[in-house]
Amino acid sequence: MDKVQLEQCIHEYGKDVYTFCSQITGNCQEADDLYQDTFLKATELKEGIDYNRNPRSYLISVALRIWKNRRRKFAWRKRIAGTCALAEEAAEVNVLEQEISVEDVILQRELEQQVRKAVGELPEKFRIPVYLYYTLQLSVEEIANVLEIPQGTVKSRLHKARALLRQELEVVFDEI
Amino acid sequence: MKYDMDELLKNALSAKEEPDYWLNQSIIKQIEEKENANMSKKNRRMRIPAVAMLTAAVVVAGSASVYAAWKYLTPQQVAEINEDQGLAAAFQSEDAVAVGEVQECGDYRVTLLGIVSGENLSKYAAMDDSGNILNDRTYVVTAIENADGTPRPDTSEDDYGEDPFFVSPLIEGLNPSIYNSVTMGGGYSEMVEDGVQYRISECDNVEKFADRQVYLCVNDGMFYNNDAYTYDEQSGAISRNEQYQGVNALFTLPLDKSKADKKAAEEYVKQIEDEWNGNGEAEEAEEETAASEAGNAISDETDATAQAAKESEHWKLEDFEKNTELVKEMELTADADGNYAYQYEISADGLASEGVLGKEELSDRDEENMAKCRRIMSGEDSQTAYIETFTLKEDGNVVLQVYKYRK
Repeated sequence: MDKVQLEQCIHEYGKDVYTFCSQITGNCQEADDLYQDTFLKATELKEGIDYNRNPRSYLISVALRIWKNRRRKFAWRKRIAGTCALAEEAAEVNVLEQEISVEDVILQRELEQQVRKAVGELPEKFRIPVYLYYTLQLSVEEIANVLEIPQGTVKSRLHKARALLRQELEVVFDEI
Repeated sequence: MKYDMDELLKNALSAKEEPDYWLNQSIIKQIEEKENANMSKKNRRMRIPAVAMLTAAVVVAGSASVYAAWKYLTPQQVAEINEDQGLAAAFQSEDAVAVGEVQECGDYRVTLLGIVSGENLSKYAAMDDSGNILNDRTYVVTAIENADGTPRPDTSEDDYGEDPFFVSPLIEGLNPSIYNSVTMGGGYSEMVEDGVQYRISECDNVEKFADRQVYLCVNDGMFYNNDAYTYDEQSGAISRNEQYQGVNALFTLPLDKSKADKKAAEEYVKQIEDEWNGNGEAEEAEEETAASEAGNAISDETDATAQAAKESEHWKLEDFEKNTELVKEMELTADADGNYAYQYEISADGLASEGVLGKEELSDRDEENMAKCRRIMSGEDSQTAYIETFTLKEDGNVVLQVYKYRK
């Protein structure tokens, strides 16, 4: 892969890969590291980044592999490293451009924050498919390939994740 | 208020984060640096020049074949490191055979990793002495290690190449001192990874001989060593000389018998025989002229080498000085047989060469004592070729000069 291809790859998939790294790590520094290591590893692996074979899924699966390998380390580092509010910053919306009231915007933002929090607290086996499905909008088939599990399992995990979130967010829905 | 869970999740979790610009730049820079470092590791690519055979002393050896636990790079990986994706793919194809047979000879362990044959498999086009593309080839990957577990010297180290090996297919019924890599358009690329020396050897496709036993010899030295093997002229069988103490590994190549082609094999043997006896040159010259007249026989890929061969045919020293760049000069001393062995590398050009100039090749010289025998090697790109010239000095030594030719 030459420099131009690499830049194109980063341009096309960098945002998705970075968001995914942010979501699974929940920490700026860790997200940066994971994102960087994902590209370095992806170009180093013998299969390489192949434009004909869904590079986004490939990059995500590399990120996931690296992250899983490092989970233990992440666990203790998370306790000492301050997490930055990636999601909150990113969720900023331009109020003036919306034809909705300030109150609605605040409510919506509050609700989305609660949803992100609830998703973040899901067990990993439900949380990862949720990120892959809703954030990266991968198909069930692509998720099955990335996680190396049957498509049926992906569907049931997504279904179960939604049920758990509904249950968790019931109180929030009631309050809003 | 009723919420659509799908919609809510999409909005809340949509990709909004972006990597910092400098983070991306840092990644690009690191990958570039890594690639540059890999490039500078220099995989050696060499042609085996057609030269006189060397002989060595008869001594004692011992060896046993075992099959390797797969601790080595696969042939495919070796080809990938050599940046030859076509060959890597070929080693993954059904036609490729993974072997993994290990033979230990003295201080070395030699492993035959795999073999594949076919047309246009590699991106590196091999050429004969006239610059014609040789595209129907057999590729064999071997690994050579120090038996005591110490690493083999890296190609960038000074002691790389100090204990050279000769790897070649040998064919049952054909005298191995004549029919080997040297006469079969051989060449190789070499690299060292994790202390293991990997070699991709190539030569003309040997599948045409698949109805006979086809061997692979790995002996110490730069050429086939008559003392390392025994050739039974009656049966045509080739075997290891058990008394030989150096390296004399001998494998049997697993070829698909259905690919044997008696007629092609006979023609090929005849061609080598003619060349060996010096009968082929006139024919070749005629072919070359015809090709040149047709104006389309030489592809762009080989242009520099072919053009260099053609243009420099009658050049004198001043023509070389005018038209090319002198990149290497060294003095060669004759060995006991009167031949001149040489080995050199030009790091800046990623070129390494080794060979022996037979004393008879010096008999035809111009008025400046430059031998009319020249050796031409392809460069890293299709625009470059290297020409080796040999000038006999009054004291009997020979000055080897290497000129870089640009198309």
